[in-house]
Amino acid sequence: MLSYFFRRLMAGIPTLLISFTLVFFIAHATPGSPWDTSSNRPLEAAVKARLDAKYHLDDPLYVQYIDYLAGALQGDFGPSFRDRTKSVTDIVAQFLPVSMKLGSAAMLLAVVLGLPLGALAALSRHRVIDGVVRLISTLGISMPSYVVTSILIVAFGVGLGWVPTFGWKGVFSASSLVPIFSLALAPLAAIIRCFRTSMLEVMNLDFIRTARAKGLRPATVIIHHMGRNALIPAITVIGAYTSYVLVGSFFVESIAGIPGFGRYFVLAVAARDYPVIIGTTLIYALFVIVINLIVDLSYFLLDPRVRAEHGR
Amino acid sequence: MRLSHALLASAIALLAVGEAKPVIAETPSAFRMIVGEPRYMDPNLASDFSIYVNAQLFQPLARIKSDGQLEMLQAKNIELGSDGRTWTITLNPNYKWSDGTPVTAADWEYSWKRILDPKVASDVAAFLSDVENADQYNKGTITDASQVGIKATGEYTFQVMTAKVAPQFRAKLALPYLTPVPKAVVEQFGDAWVAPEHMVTNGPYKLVSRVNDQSIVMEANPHYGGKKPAIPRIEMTIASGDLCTAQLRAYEADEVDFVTCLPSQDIDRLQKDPELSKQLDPFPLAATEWVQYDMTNPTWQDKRVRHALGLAIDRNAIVVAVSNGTARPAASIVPDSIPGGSSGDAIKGSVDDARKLLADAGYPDGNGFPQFTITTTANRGRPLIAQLLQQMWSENLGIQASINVLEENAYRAWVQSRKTEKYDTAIQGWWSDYADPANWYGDLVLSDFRQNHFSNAEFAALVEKGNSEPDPAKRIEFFRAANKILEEEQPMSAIQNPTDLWMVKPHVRGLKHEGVLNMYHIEEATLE
Repeated sequence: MLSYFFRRLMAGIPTLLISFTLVFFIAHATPGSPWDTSSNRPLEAAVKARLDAKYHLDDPLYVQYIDYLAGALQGDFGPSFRDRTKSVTDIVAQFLPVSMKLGSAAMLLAVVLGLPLGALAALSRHRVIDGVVRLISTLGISMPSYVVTSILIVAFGVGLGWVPTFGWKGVFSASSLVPIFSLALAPLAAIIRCFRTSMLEVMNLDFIRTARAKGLRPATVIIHHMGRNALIPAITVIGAYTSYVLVGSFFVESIAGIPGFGRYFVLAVAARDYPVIIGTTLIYALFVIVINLIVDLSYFLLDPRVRAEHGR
Repeated sequence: MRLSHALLASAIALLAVGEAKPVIAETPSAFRMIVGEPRYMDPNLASDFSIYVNAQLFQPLARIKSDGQLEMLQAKNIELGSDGRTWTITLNPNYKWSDGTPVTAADWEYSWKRILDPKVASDVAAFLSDVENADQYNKGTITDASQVGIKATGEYTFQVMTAKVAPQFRAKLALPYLTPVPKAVVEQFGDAWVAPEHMVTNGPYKLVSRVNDQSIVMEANPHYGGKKPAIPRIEMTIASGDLCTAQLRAYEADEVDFVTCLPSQDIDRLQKDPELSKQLDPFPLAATEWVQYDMTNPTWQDKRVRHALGLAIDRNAIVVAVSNGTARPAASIVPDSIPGGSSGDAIKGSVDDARKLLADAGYPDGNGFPQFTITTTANRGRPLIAQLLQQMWSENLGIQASINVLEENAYRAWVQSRKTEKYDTAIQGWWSDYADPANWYGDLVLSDFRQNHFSNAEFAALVEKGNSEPDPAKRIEFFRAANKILEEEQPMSAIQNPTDLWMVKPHVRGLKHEGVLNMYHIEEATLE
């Protein structure tokens, strides 16, 4: 099992290198300059040249590529161009935790609500409850997060005044309610759908009938026998959404005024802040790799067949 | 189900780790607003909208009043010597840094030379370009800062020598871009001097805390030399993206006291609301947006073509569509509020006249006119302006344009590359940096910042004369004559003069619009 994970971890390295190469060249190929800000006047050519020289943007692109790669391997992702007093590492340390806290809360909400609702829908198939749950899940999947966030802010912030319309005062404050719910909606809907389907598949299998025939309590059958087996496909969905939600959503964070990673990333793209664009993309790629690995790890714990295949 | 327990526990642990305490305390005596993240807190570097935040912390020598006279702030006296080049500035010793130390002439000399320092690479340097040897030092052709015409001559006096007679420098002396930084603190802490624990300021407020992309808190500077601010504390929340929408929502939910811009789709509703309409506070800006023609491109070299396109624009329709009628239709480039500008010089004529001009130029009913492109940035409602122009020119003149919309930063790069590359037309704008004709006829047109490539010897000579004429009345005459040429030649066709729309809560009194940049000075306001 260990060697399997070691191999998987090693396979992540070329993935990271390819992501880095792609984002490096795409970022530099995008027209625009990190120095020409939104002031009325165009930047003096001499000033631009000096800034380019200071940050080595006047070097040939392949030299910059190698330099950046060499720095990145030593954990130095360079300075941010948008805020020159900070390094990319500072920025990740400041903004990623905010997104991760919100994202964790949102995923927690999605899992805690999604699994029971999915099971409920499966158990009451084709009845009213099933219809209602499926309606919720269809709405959740089809409504983009920026629409949900805007509607929630207008309704509960401007209209009712229950939550602030804007800003961030920590994850345990009213300011995080709207973003958490907006972030949770899409994974919630996906979890409901996926878990409902897999529960439906599992519930007609022989071993469930056996469990029932043995006279086990219905709750035990549902949770331990059906739930555990139906969870395997749901874990894949949860994993995919976790890496997506934890690094933050630009729309939700911008609209709700959350100083998070997703918002910063898109601001960096607009500002042509190359080191931040590259650094944050690598973090994102790393997240996807690690979470996929965790998902695989969970198969080991949940599914004896996978254990049997890779175990020795 | 051990896995799910473990996931749950780790998620809860993750949430609890290092949970930040709320930064902003609820204080009823604080002035609350939403701003964009300032790119620079260092006033020697800020040349974008950061200056609106900075203006609460750092103060220039003076402020320019609507009659063109200076109102002294940090300076007690500003005097121009008989040579027309030597400006002697006497500081008011009552003004102190927020740590109690005096603001000295040495601080001013240090700061302005710091702006020009090539290693600092500040955008603000352009505002000091009139100063003797400033450009050379900034471009690195001379390395000795003592040759720059800025010199402290006493503890509280310093002299600025311009390279030639430059009457427009009076307006620049009052610019919010040209403020001092504390020499001792900057030298001690380097770039980190702007951190809240180090920063000292000379303005009405001092920085108490700043969390990037989250919040800025200021409190009254106890050592401020001017009138003590009535509002002791300012709490700014940082927004990005759609700043206007975020501000309006927070305003309607009573979370902020002040809004600096409004989403255009809400203007109609706000104007019709009996309560909110009273809180609207419009300010006509000395700014213009226009469509310009590439004057080096043969298609646009026939003046009749430019006149025809200019006359075929229905400016009222554009203003209504883009800003619900709050911007003002503009027939000429330089606003009337800038000396020299005169809308009376605008070309006159009907759509029929426009058609006739185009026919005279060899394109009856637009026949044979090449298909061309209108290039524009994606923000500020400009794509809508492009669509309206496309429609008006097609319907009125029978000529066909396509539209090329570029993301803001890409558009800037596109404009810069037009220095050598041809294009057709582009939508552009200019916002007054300072209330002086040199900022329009000189900086905008002659310096060709917008790559319009308008060259006219007579116009250039008039502007040069105006720039070096010390007598104000004679000076304006030169610019008046230049304005007539600019409009008659029509290298750009004016479209609208934008208007800033503020909203101010009724319990805030005395918050005024200041200067061509429409600054706000919270120290002047009171909360009731």
